[in-house]
Amino acid sequence: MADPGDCVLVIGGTGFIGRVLVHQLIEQGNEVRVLSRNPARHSDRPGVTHVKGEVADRESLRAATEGVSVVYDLSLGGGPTWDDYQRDFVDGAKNVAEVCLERNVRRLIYTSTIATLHLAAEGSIDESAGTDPKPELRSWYVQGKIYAENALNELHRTRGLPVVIFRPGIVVGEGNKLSHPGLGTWASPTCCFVVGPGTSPLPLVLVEDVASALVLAKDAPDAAGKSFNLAGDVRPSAADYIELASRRSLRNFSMRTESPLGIQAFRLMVWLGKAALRRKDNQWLSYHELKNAPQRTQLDCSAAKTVLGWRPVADHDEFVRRAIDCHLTPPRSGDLRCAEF
Amino acid sequence: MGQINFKPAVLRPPIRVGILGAGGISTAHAQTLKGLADVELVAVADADPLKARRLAERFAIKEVYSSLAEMLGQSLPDVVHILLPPEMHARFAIECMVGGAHVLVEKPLCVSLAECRELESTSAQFHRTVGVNHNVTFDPAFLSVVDAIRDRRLGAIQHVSVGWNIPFGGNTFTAPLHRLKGPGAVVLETGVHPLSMIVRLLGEVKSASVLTSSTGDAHRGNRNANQDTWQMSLVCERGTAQCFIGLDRGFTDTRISVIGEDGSALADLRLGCGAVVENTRRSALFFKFGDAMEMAWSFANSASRGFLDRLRRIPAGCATDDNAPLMRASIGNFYQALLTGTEPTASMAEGLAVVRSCLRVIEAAETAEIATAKSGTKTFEPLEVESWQTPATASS
Repeated sequence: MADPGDCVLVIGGTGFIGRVLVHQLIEQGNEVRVLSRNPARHSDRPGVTHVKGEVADRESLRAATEGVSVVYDLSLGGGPTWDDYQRDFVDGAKNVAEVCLERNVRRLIYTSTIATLHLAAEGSIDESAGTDPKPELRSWYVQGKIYAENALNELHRTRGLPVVIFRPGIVVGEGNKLSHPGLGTWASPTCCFVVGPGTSPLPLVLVEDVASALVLAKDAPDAAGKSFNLAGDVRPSAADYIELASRRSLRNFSMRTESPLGIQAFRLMVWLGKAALRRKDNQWLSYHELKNAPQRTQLDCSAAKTVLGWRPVADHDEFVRRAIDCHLTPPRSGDLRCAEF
Repeated sequence: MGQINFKPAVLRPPIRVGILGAGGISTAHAQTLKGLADVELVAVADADPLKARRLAERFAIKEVYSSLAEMLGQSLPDVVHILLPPEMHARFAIECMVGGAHVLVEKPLCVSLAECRELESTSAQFHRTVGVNHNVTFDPAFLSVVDAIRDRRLGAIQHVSVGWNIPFGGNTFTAPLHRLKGPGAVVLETGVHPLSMIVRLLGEVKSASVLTSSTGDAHRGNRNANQDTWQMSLVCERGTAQCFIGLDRGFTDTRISVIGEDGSALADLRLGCGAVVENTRRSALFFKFGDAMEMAWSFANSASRGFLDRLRRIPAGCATDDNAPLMRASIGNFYQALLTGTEPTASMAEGLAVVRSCLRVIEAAETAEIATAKSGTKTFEPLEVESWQTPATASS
């Protein structure tokens, strides 16, 4: 049970994971302050105060962390150039960390992503594998997250920053979409292009389970300085997910598998075209990056269970209810998709 | 739409059938019945003995009667086809059920809410199956739309739009119904066709707003003529619909368009072809070209199948009779239901829902304004607006 007087700052508390996290923190009796760029869009309610700020603005962070004992950094950002990722992801994470050190914050909990891992090989890995050893070959988004993780770990080693890093998998649940971008590229709301055969179990995790792990990390005694991968116990493949979505929604979901080589050839053409036009948003996406997309490597998440006491949903039906059914509108009586004719 | 609360009867072949009413549509029914296995057309009854005898001679029907009571009492048919003017449907359908026969009623099933309730209670009391000849809902082009929905290619259906432009008009329809419903008779006569499709796809019409207009020959010089265009905006049980009925057109154009959450389907009933446009399965670069080609292929494919079907009908001498396949499918579906103990697709519940929908549209039109063109012109500019008078309001 949390201390009733805990004051918690959630940066990015209005997002998909942030909203659920804030809800769980309030339920546990914490006082929550939410930092966002547009607090006016969100109204305060009992236990929650919205304040204006962003991770690139250290002054706003200082003001927001006054009297705060725990900080959650779920901030997003990025843009069309690497400078955007450097500013929002790397410098932003450092700003939050520096302010936490100034304020003697008891714990900083940072959310990264499993995309920072190298998931191209068969087999299983745990947190000891660390992030992808070749960040320079990854997308700017992944590079930004890897460099942010590295900076936070460095601050933990050198200055004792009490940071806990989480790498959630493909987060599903109410508030996101049934046509989840984590599965692949959606040509339309019902047709997904998947890299590879689409048969590997995916590291799906329910948003409520991610939030509960984040909440547990606040008071877990041995968590500081550690990283945790978060994938649930129910892990359908992309093909399974599409089949489930089709069956439960009575819609014609389909999956198209694409070979990595074919995609790379297409990307090369796009890159050459943009290069000829001298476009600044022309990012070269390496084959190394593409090989990660099928997510063949399985994640061992036992550390979160052992250290934090995390218990993600393990029942398949419960998972389907929370991950898929939450997006559906039940068919009305007489719907021809259900009737014999 | 409700469901019947008794298990439908299972009939053993041959099913003995009687026809009540030897008017124009009876030929199509008799022709269809003669072509069905397990069915025997045994009797015809009509108040006009000459018409009944002519039909009997043409289709070798053994027994001829001048009243329903005689036919029910002496021929004991399992099923009676009610082929009378609409305002007589309910009364005689009820008489048939009380007399022990199942009934197939020409559309519309009945013409008032009171008749709807009476039909429902009689069917439940005597456990008789009632079917309605909503033959347009068995049109192959419409069925291709239904198949697309059932195959889940469109997702949940949100909107249906029907255009129903036909070359005949108010003068074609029966005078008694016009006396009963005023210009609204059009809805219960030809409006049943588009509305039966809408009800099949979206359920009963729950509310309606209607704009009618009188622009052409139907109105000029004849103040009692029906409005010749009907524009309806409908809220149904499972979505919204629009329906345009144009009478006295110089051409026939009957089509339906269905919009679902994942795609849309278009069927041209006159041309017998259609296409489905789904959420794309192609990348952004190719989808316009690929999906357009797929749509074109779909039209070409259904047109070819329709043409081959006509060629196959040449030996039977009905290659160009587009109504015959619809009648065969609709009536065949009713008898299949009787043989298997299931409800027919165009069931009493659907028939009642269609009638109630028609009545809501008529009610909405009665309180709406009518746009009329200036006398002697066919333009809409400027419009004169007037109210219509039903026989009831006119007499009061």
